Amino acid sequence: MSANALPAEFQLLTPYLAWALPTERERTHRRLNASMEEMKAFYEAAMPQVEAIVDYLDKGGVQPVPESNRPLMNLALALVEISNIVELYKRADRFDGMHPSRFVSYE
Amino acid sequence: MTKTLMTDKRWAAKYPWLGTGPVATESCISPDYFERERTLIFRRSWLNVGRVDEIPERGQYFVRELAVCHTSILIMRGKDGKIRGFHNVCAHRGNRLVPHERGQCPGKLMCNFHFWTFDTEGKLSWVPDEENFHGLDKSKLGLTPVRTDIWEGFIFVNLDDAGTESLEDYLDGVGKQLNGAPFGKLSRLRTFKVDERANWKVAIDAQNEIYHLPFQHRFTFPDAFVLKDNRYTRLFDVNLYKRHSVWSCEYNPDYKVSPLGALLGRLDRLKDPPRFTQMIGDFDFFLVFPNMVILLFKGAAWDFVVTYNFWPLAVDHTIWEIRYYYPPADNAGTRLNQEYGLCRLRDTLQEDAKAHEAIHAGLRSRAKRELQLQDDEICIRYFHKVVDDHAGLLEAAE
Repeated sequence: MSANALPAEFQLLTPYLAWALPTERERTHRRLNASMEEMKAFYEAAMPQVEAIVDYLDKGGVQPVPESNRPLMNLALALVEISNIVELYKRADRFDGMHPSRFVSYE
Repeated sequence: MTKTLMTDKRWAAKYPWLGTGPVATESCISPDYFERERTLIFRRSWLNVGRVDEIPERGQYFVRELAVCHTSILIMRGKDGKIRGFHNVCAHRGNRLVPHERGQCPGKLMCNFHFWTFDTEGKLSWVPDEENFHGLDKSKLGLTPVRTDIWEGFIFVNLDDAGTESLEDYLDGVGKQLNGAPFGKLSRLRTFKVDERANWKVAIDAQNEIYHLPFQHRFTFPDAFVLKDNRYTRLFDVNLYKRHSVWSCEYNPDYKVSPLGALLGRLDRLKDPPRFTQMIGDFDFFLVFPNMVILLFKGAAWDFVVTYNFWPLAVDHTIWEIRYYYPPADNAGTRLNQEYGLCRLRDTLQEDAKAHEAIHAGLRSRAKRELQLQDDEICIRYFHKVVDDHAGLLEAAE
């Protein structure tokens, strides 16, 4: 398994691997440049896998997350990143806040 | 069942001396008033500049640019383990001693202008070509100390050298309410810094009530807190201290979290998290005068803390710092659940931040010169009174 691959159990999510970004800044940037259709497809593919993802990650521990599990953890964090738009706002144009790039985040 | 009383206008009844009239807004847009705030508030108050866990090791330091006080502050843990604050200014010719934000001192700090060198306790230890100076007394040329004290891990400085009020006395009821709270058992997951074109009080006011939640935050938090007739929020408690204030609310028992939030809540398996038994409601908003807010949230799985620090740069320019503190996640469900809460609040605060700038622009127009405040906005009323008590009432301008 290469450093950027998902475990075999989660191959269904491979089309969304580009979301597996290590920092909030990068995940937010990707969200801002994604279409609603792309985010909904990612959300619908990932939601049924969340419980299995958490179980898998817990086997490797999270303090810290081992290198091999980082793409999977980062993908799960990206699901969280888009969830407000998909679940709450339901349309990307409903968010009426300061541009997120002005919320400069530090991990 | 909740314990929140739905009675109308109970806070004015609790604090009748505060009055109920409109609050003037000129103090939010007047450059003259801002200069008075600089001198009479920021240069005389205890200001939170960080936490002890930013510098756990001896010799570690960080720098805070306090533009509102026209200085840069160096906070350093000495070789003796004690945390001290100094003006970040070299004793030779006034150069900024430490040019970066943080670091680990190998035993001494050296000014890059002429290599004047100070130890971790601020003493001047070495001057190149010292013999060529005219009677230099190194013992009198250490870094200029700043009054520095620590409360529950929060580091505060006070630039008023003549001031005698201790940090404990200054914190008053906030200190008494939160003494012993397990802040030190949480770790910082994220910091945001937001550069805003708004007065610092406008930014604080926009956060200092929950009346706006069902409206401005109708997508993210329409019904998280107890509602009167399922439409309007009501506070559970309000306490005004000598300078500070706290309002508290209870969660809405009928609140439904989103599908992902519900799922992550079930998968969150944190063991024995620290609990903030010092809390008043389920959500407490402590405003520590002048510019710090401590938010305490009760959670199903664990409690967590968010702090705000509002740093004025000018009458219409503020840096809003936001820090999230959570119990360290020992499992993936907790880690993801924490990120979920963080993103939900973050998006909400981005809506607030846009409003800060819009409100400031509105006040700047002087189309309206007063704030109309309802009973649950009482802490905004009190904050402006405390500001005026320190900086003085402003004569109507123009």
